[in-house]
Amino acid sequence: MQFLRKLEKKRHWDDQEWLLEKTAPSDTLNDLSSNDNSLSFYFFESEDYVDRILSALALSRDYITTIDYYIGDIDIFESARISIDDTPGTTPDRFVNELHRDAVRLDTAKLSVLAVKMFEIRCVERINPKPLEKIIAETIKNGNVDLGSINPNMLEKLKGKNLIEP
Amino acid sequence: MTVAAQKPASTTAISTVLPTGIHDRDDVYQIGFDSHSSSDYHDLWSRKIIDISNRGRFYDNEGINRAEKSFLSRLSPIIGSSWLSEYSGIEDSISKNSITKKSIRPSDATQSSNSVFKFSYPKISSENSSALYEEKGSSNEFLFYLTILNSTFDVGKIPSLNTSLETKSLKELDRIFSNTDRANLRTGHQNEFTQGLDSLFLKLGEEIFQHIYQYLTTSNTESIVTSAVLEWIGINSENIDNNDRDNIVRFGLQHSSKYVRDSALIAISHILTDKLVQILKMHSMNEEIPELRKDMQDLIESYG
Repeated sequence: MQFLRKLEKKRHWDDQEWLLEKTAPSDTLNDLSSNDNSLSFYFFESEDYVDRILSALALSRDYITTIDYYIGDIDIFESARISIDDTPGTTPDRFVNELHRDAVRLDTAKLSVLAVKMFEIRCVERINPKPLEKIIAETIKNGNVDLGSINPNMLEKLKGKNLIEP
Repeated sequence: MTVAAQKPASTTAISTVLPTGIHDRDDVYQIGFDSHSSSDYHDLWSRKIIDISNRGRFYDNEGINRAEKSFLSRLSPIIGSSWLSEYSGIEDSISKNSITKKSIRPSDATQSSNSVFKFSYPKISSENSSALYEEKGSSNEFLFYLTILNSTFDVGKIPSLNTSLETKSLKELDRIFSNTDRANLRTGHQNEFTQGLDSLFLKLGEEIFQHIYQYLTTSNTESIVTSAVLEWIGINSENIDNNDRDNIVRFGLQHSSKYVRDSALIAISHILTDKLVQILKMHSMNEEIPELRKDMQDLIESYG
């Protein structure tokens, strides 16, 4: 099984010449900024779900724009001794919400180990706005999105791009 | 940074602020202004010279408006065809990225006495300059430089510091840029910063891009704010064709921070015009961060 985590900026994960082995740039911690000692992830079995997760994440914002994200194997949590809780997500896509998990009871040591392990593999991706719009259009067309739970700013954008009826 | 509020030169006003003395120190001139010229006034003129000269240097004529083109075309024969590469005093700082440089930024101009400032400006080649001085009845090359600038701005429609609207807009930008809570600048989310820009955009229309460009190139804006403005531009100008907007994106691609260059890339991924993709192609070849270079190339390839 794999996980997806939305990143604030994939540039945080660029390699650095000066970096010692078994460490990670401190900028990566900007993408592992915990809340209530927890971090949000989406777990999935099939790569087919990635687009659906990205669409749900995009629709949880105010604008359709680039999403940077990280994909990795969930074994990483076990090796970092990190506990996982099933906590439903809050996106406008119910199915995606069920894929949501929280890494919980995180201390700084665990966070640091997680950063190093994630940096070792560094499967950092980006989806640009145009392909993202296509994916969003598809999920809306398939009736996978609860339009009522999309915030007003995003609804306006979707109307402006004719992705939903005005 | 605080934008100078004083209204700059009118045609008559220039006579009161012409340099009263000019002292050659290799490529750095100490220029004396008479006691009536304020530092604000000097600052505005310095910005103009630096801004236009830099754009001439960095962006070739493509990114320059009509009045500026006229200014450059009038200066080029005088200074010599290679003037762009001979712009003195900034060689160590022009290699890449940021446009306003430490050696010539107005804020770095040092006031060594009550009325003497120090900064660099292009030298006029002696071969061409004599005829020019004769024509202008002056033996002072800086006087000529200012005269050309002055007439350019009077004749042309350069959206300059010459209107109170512009000064107001720059002040408004300054307020938006300075008061923003950096912690709230999250990609894809509305915040005080984007709302401020939205509201200014509603008021000014596309003219906002001129002001943003001017602001970014003459102030010491933090990388995180420059990134945010680039991403805002991407989202809000998808269907617009605007030269100043493109200049801001180029400025972003040349920035010393990889985060700003990345935000310029994100802006282009929204706008995707032939022109910006060509500009991106050019910059991608020089991009030093392999991962960022790859992202640039991926976008170029996806454009087809």
